[in-house]
Amino acid sequence: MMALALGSRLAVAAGTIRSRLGLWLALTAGFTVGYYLLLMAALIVRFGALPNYATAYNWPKNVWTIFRSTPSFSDVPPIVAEEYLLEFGYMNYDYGHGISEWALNILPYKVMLVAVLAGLLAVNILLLRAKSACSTATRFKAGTATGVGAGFVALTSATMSWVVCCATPSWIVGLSMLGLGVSASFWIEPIGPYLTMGGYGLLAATALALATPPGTPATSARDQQDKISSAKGVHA
Amino acid sequence: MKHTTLGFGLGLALAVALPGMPALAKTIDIAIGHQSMCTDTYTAGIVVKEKKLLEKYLPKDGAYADVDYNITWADYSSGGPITNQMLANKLNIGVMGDYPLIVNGAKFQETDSLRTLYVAGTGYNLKGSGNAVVVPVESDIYSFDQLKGKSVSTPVGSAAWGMLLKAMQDEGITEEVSLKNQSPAVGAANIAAGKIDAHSDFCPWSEIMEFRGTGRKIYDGSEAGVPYLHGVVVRQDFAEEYPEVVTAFLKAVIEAGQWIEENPSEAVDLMEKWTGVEKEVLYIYFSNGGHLTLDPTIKDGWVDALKFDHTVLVKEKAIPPLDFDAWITEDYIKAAYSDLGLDYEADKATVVDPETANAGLPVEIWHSRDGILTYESLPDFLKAVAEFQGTGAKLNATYVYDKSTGLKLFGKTAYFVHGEDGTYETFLRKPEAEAYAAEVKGEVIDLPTAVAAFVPTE
Repeated sequence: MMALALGSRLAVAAGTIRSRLGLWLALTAGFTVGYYLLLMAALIVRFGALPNYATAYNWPKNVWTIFRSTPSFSDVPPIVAEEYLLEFGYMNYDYGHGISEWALNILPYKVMLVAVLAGLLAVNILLLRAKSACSTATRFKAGTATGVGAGFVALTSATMSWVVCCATPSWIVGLSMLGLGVSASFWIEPIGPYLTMGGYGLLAATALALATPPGTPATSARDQQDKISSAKGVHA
Repeated sequence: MKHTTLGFGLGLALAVALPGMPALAKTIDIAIGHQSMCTDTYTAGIVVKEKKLLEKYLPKDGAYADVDYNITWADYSSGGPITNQMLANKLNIGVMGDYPLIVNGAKFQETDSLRTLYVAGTGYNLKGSGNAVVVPVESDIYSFDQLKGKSVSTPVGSAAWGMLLKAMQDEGITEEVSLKNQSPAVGAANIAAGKIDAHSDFCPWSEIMEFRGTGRKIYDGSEAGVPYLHGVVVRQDFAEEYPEVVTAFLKAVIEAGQWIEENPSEAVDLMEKWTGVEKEVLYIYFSNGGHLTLDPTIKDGWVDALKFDHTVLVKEKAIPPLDFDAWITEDYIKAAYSDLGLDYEADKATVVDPETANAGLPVEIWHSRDGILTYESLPDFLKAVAEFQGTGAKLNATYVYDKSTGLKLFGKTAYFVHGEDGTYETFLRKPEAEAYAAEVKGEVIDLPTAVAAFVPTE
């Protein structure tokens, strides 16, 4: 019964995407590109300098090297996940022959995660638009859940590097840039994967909650009640 | 039967012909990650690269007779990215400091199938010099305990960060210091601009700040008492496939160290060109009596120091466990010593303590035209500086030794104590200088004041 309900909700979500495929793709691509532009803007504002170097990496070749030279297949994904495609950063030439002080690293694996986030965000927006009859409370709840979920994933998907933290891209660089203490940042770092999963979970759950098949009695009744409550000013 | 005979004939013909046929050349890729802004890695990095020492020692006969070598070098500003590149098999060999080395070993052991081996050191300072805490030159902070309630920046995860944590624990001010995460370049810039109370960094950043006149050391790593060392890690699969190549690399490391020890002035001159780090700064590391002892042997004390560092990292960064017995091997460095006819056990047993090794070493003036000039006593040195200043000669730098630790210092940053009996001593830190001055009923003065007493009067 539950599987059936889930299946029908997935069908509604898929149908919504199909019906507005162009818009969904545009939103997904836009959110993904916008996310990286936002990260770059944050670096520029935080450090007060424009990037002065860009490096492209041969990602397919590097991934192939990893596959060939890693005996255990289970070791491959985490190593591939750290592979760069592009790097835009700031080289400080005050000392020696230059030090890459900060950089925005484009890692295909992380781009894929951000694209999934963007896709879920886009479907939630389309579902919300389609639910114009929804009560304000339901829209608010769905919007909040989507925002929190997207925030978690966006935060933990950041791939900025700073020569501190031994210059490896980590999501806690974003926290450090926001002024969070070093110890607190490292304390938080291990919970990154859980935040990511929680974020995706919230986004997916919201999408499913919004993807109500037409004429679902329970939801319709709750929506109806919400509408009545709102009308009475309970949520005012 | 005919087929058997034909097969035997073909086999025989191939067996006879094959040795005479040109073999298909095999290419061995050797990719090394090094750090041109970290002095302690130079003997396994920039010097081996620029002097082409690896090429000199690579095997060229036996199984390697028809091998082509493709050697690539990648320069990094810290050890972390080198480990990531080694995991991806884009680097076979990495050179880094103690804390990043431990992260390297632990990250590899965390995988199912990949391992690195710690095969040799590059250099060390027994007491931990190389890391230091620096304050802006105009700051009124002169000792570590004065950092209570202040902001201190450091590159987190580096050896300097480890030293800072231990120093704060030793002083009992862990909760009272606001720790900031800053890169060496940003920390140095902030020290120059007076934007941070103090900055803790690894070699040679504190000396760069001192040499440029922007910073002043208040704490040297030697006070933490934990050896500061760097080393070489190699992917185990590479080492097992090409052990002779790893041994060749370590022979190159040994020769690099010998070349620096025999020609410090020439070496720092060339290293300045290769790295961009001022030669006067490099001299404080690589000269006789310098901070760095170039010794690739793996001493028991170093293993203990690495184990201690690992406990710090486990506590602060929750890094994976590290099986030191599986990670550390002396096989390759012993083979390199043996091939070069050197005594590994003798070098391993030798530990250089600057406090005793540098006692009685002459102080030095780096004259821009005449090079390094040595003086047996501080009055002779001060007299010479006064005379050079009188003639308008350009002095690149002056070097004296800290009476407390034996560490080599820039004369311009040292605290001079002029005793009641007319003697002079030099100190790294003001509190020690003041204590000694009280003991000898003398006064604490700076270099210009000390030199002024020797200016010839007409």
